Amino acid sequence: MINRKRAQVEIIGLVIIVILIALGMLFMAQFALKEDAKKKIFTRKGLAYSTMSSLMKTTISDQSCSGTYQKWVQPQLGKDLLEDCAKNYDYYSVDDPDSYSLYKCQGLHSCHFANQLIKKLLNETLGEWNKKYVFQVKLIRAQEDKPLTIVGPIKVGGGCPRSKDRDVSGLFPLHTDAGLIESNLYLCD
Amino acid sequence: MLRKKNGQARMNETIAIVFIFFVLILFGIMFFYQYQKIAIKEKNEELLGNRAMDTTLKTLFLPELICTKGEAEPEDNCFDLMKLRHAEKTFTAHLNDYYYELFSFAKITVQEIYPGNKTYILYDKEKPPLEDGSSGWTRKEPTYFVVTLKDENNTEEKSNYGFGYINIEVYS
Amino acid sequence: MVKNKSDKNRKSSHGLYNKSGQIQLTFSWIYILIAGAIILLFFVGLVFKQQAAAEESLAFDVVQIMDSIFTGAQVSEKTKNFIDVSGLADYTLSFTCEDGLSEFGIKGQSSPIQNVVDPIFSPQEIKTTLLILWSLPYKLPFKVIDMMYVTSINTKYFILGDGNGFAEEFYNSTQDFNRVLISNPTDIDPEKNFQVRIIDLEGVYVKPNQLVPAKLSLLEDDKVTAISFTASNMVNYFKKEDNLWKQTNLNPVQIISLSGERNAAKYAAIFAANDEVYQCNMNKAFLRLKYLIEIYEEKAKEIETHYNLNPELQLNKDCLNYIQKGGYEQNINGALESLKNIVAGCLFKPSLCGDLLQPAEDLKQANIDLGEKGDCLTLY
Repeated sequence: MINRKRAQVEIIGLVIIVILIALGMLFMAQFALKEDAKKKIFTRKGLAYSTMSSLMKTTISDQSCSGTYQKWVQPQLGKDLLEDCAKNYDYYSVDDPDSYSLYKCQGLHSCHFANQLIKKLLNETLGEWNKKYVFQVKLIRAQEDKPLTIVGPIKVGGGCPRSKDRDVSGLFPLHTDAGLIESNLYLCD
Repeated sequence: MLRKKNGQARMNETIAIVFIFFVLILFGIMFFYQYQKIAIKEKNEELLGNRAMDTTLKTLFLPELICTKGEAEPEDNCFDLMKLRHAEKTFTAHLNDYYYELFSFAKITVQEIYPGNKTYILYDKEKPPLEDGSSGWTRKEPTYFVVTLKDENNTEEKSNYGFGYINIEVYS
Repeated sequence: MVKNKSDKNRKSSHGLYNKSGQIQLTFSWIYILIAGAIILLFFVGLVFKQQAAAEESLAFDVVQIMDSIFTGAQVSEKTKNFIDVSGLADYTLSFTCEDGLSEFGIKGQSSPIQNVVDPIFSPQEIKTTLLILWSLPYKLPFKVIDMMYVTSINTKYFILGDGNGFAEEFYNSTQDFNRVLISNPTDIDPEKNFQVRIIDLEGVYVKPNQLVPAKLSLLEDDKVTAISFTASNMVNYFKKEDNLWKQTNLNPVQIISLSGERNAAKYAAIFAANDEVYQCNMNKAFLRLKYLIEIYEEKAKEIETHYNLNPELQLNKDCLNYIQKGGYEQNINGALESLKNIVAGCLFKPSLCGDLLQPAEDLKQANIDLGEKGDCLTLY
């Protein structure tokens, strides 16, 4: 009887030890379940917006750029080049990059040049920092339902599907005679 | 005799139990020490991240660099090249008496990507090395932001916007 | 009855054993009590020490987070931020500024944040569930710094008088703040607010040694303050002392700002606890101005060189006269030089800061003329 009672007391002692070990595991678990640092979220959102805003404002300083009457011009990437790309998209094809457009830089159609330049700029910034991103410009014509992708999609690292945790720059809409241009940049890790 | 032996055995048992009790306490203290060590390291990482974020925010909205438009609102994510070219001189001249209070131990660089590729090191204050000569800092937390670089100093007198980025590294 | 010798021995030894057992039992209990008490005291002491450490750690965390929030709120100028601090409802936040150094933290705790750069205008103590942060850019005439105003939902502002339309402007700008327009000091009722600030825009309702409104006598002295505008840019600060108004500043405080809507320095005066806090934080703005002038001087030189090297750009324009000292009366270089000289004196003697207004006004006009009349590159 006494031995049985002693054995029961010893079992209780073992149970207490198991509970203490379980509590210790819970302490460790809190590190594993820690949420994303605020800095990471803030910089990704801000970076997407600032990159897009800077791209749209960039002035093309290429000496080979020409506009009306073949005069040398310095168009802005967002306002001038993308608008021209939208207006003259029907003349453009990937196999014929020097087809007609109002602005021509390095003899290339504005859509082609814009695509090339944006790829280069994003590669030298986001690409260098090992960020995954998707950039595209869509044209929404009045008479059509489906938006037309006129620049991009420029994807790196497999892009940013909906299933991934991603941040968007915002649409940066541009109203033109050809329709509404929407540009956006998705950033994900 | 039997009682004496019984008493001795029980005494030994008591001593053993007390000994194990203290060993358990020692394990508890060691476990707590390890936990605190990791917690402090995590805390330092978090504080460094916060400092990086604060320094980035302050830099992006510095009146010494931002693009102004007269009485209108200043432009976002934009640095005026005409101010940027001279900002380094001012920051360096007043580094220890003013700008250190703003940026602490950090390095702020503006890199032009398009059309040129000039680098402007606006601020650089590394942690001083330790007494034994080893580096004063253990970690650098870089933050990158893309900015537009406005230059009005051209013959057309219109604002030409370049493309670049700012790199802010804070030292821990 | 003793049966035999062994029985007798047993009984006498039994008695001895009884006494020994009693002593042993007593000693055991005393030993247990003392040992137990020592162990308990050890753990209780540990708990108290941990509690103190936890409170310090909480205060540190809170203050660090608030510092980040303040940084974010300051750069998002003209935006009001409402921060839920219901977790800190039992704590008092303290804000001080002395000799150019601001400190804010939890009252009674030892980990305040110190700041010598950013001007923060607030009451000296705040105890609330909702903190309100707002910032406005201070321009003299270019943007110098963002001024941050910190208040709470339980700090009530009573706006007395019209102040040439400023009352309405202030009331409309501070939507969602705890403020009310009143025409008579007798209408003042603190209700359940933590503290009150009376804004006397006419300079007639709050005077030294005058009785405070009756309902305010229930609040503690340091929770009742007032600001009285003797002119549109001169103020006096008052606090309650034994139900009478007592002026805290020796000389009237001048608000150094160019006219216009959302006058950052004027709003700062309203939110600042007293004249000391106001002057201390304004000095931070003037110190920043000193360094900004250096950069703008270099920019002005670059613009001047640009026009000197490209005279053809000036054929139909008059840019250099708006920039150079020998040119028009209101010119960029002259105004910048005056600003630079005056700000150096202002940092040593605050009474000289009022002289900043004229060169600031000249610089503003020269810049406008440069852009509009001259069609030239502007300084800012």
